[in-house]
Amino acid sequence: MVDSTRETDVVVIGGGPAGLAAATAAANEGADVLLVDRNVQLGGILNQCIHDGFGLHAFGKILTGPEFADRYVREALEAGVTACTDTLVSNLSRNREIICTTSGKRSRIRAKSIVLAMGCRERTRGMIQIPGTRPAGVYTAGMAQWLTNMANIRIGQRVVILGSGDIGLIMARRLTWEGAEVSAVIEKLPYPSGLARNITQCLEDYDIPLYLSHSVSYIHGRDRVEAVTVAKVDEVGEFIRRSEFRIPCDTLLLSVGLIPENELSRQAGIQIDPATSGASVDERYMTNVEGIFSCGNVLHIHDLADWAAEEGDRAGRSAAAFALGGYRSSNAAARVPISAGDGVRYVVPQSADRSTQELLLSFRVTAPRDEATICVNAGDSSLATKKLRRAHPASMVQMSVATDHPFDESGLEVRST
Amino acid sequence: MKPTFDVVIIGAGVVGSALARHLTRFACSVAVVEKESDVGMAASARNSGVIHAGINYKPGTLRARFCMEGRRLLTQLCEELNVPYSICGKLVVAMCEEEVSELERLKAQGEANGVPDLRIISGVEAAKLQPGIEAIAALHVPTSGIVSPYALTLAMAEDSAVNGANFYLATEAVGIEHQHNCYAIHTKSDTVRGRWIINCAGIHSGRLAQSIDSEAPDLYPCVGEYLLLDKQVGEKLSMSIYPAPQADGAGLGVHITPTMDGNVLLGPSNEYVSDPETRCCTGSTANRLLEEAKTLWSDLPPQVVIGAYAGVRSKQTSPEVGGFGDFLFRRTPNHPQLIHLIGIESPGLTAAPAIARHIVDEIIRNEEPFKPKTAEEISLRRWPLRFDELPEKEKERLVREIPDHGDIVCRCEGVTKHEILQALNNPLGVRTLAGIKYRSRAMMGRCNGGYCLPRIVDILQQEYGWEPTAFQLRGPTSPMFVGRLLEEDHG
Repeated sequence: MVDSTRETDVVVIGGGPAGLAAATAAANEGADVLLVDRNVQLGGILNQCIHDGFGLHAFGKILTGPEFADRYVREALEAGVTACTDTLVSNLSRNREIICTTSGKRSRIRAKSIVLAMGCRERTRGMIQIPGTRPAGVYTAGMAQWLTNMANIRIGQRVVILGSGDIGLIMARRLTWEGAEVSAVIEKLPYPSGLARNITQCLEDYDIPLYLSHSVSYIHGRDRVEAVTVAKVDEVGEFIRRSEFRIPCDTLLLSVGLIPENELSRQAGIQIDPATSGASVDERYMTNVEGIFSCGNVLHIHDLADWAAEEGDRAGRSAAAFALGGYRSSNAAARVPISAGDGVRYVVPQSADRSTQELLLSFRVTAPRDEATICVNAGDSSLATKKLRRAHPASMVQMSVATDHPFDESGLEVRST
Repeated sequence: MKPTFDVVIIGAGVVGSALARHLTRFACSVAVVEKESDVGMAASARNSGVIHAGINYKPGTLRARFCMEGRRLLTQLCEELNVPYSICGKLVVAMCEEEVSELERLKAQGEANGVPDLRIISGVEAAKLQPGIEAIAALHVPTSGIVSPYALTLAMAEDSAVNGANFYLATEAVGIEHQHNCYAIHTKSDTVRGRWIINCAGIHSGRLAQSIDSEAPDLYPCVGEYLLLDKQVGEKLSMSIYPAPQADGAGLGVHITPTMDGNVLLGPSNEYVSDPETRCCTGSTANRLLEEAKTLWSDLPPQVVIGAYAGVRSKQTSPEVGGFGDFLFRRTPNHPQLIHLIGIESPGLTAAPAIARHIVDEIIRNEEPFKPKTAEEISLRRWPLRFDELPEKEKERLVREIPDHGDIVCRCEGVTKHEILQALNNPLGVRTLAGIKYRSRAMMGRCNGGYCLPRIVDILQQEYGWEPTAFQLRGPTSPMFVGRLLEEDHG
């Protein structure tokens, strides 16, 4: 029972892959680490991802979500991380104090540094404003995944999925296995949002039709979903008249994107990059608030848990250095911006110290294309280039930049041509 | 067979609930017959939630009279029931010279109705009161306010249920018949009898009245769509912003209103429809609402919509005529104990408590000597305090006292497990997810239940033993789930 303010070196908020990796890394650097997670079980969303496909990058093995989580949980506990589960962080302040709440207890904790790893949430019907009635039977894909895999609940018999995000694709296959009829996956863009391997393994292998450049123009049914009207959309996303057709169904799943969950970050006055909806960070993943770091899906949406974990590892080491005193803060004048140029949607980190010698950039392109050339430029000089056989917005790209010279004052720009 | 009630109210919207609440202060038997599975599920929950000051109504009309009386009673009622409200004021903005003369007209009309402190101010002054307004002038209405319309309706209904009103939910009245010494209300499943009948069935009140009174007027359903915006926007908006009135508009124009929950509403649109049960939102309207709102308030940020809904106005004026009719309290010599409240559109929410007082005190009690209950006979049910809005010290104390307050189930709205269970165990016996939502605010925030629905499902399965088929969104016809995937292993 802790009622007065407790102190620790590093607090990590969120026990998914990024948070677990951050906590482990910080503990391995010698910091006292408290990992706070709102769920009873560590691992975050991985626990409901019972399909395989995890761990190829991190462990060279194909694992299920729970298996992947289990490895990180064990590593964290072995490294000496104190885990505080079933506990929600309700407040975060600039001076690195948090308020935690759990059944019967609210407590304050002060940390020398904090790692934000709260993950993301799904975009909802309310945000994309699908016209029609408001019946039961409209779920986000991740919610459907929890209901199916964690709660043993059958959500419906005839399913249409709007959006071709990876969770929607995984759920198309999952619900088919459970005997539901998945009538269609509808994608507004002319190309799928999910990974190519999921299109093959989750749709094509089960003859589930994918309608590109289509969207749901109406939801029918007063009390429970009865059907959806689907129509073609033009280049700017407007419905094309007389292209409508109706698909009877009792369930509509939405897999229309993820949003970094930065409500706590906003409380602490952390600057949010509109392009990622995550914090703006420097090359060591520190936000504009001294001593608060960000990684994983709360920083920007990753397509693989492996990469979220790797990012957590790097942020965790920075946070430990900050807490333990081995951290040289760079002053504002020494920092230069890193911007997304032509053909690039965003770049993380958003700034770097000019004297940085090795820098890892994570970014996405704006549109699919074959034979793309990625250039990292500093002023007039090119720091690095990379050729991609295929560039796709669904696939995050990472590139390392190494240099002996300070970066140009104008900063770095990443472009795809 | 059910007893014959002294008074039967048809429709548990804000008017019906206000009537039930006032009647239960007297020694009489009261029943409320409601079509939906919960109270306040139609226009009463789907409006702007504005406590009107009284500037929009012609002097001498029932709308003017009941708005002015209602706003006073409404705030008293909110204090008594602990329903949050705020007299935050509003600005009616003029974007051109012609609209300034409309403001003058509104001001004179308001003053004739007795609205105090009306002032026409410059655009610069308006922008000081509410940054982001780019108008040439504005009418400042400091006595305008906001209230949560569904919280008010639920609080009145639950208080009246605790004090003896009998609620027949999911019971749709289809006709009224005069029988010996009473009226029979035929419903789809049952018959409920009463000596006095008050028909406040909203959009259905005209049709229902016609089942016994062929002269009763028709009503025209007119949909108003709203967009609900994120609380991030609510932090920037301190008062409602209305456009200057448009000639022949069937509504007050698209306005921007803060809500008591900290969100912002944009709307309503204004479209006559054929189906009185319309709940549909249209994509084109949503875009238009955003565009119109942007002209009123340039600070409106992009991409902040978290929801949309539509409500139906009960209009007596046809689409060809437009504008507003006055409230109609219809009572014929043949049926003096049958009162139809027809066409209670805006400012129905504000007027509801005054309409209830008028019907009960000046009509029914004129002829029926119902004895007022003593203070001891009344058990006041206050709307629960919201944990999230308490100061930190108080939160810490409460969590030690009631451990379930430490378990935050809905992150967006800060709703605790204790609040969820309180909402579930409501005196109306409503066991739907929408019932939990409107009582606790869980599932109402920016993630639309993405975070809390799984937790609520867990709580109800584990602590109340609910099977998947027990989960309903709004009632028996809106099941959430089909069943189990695998039989539970009890071995």
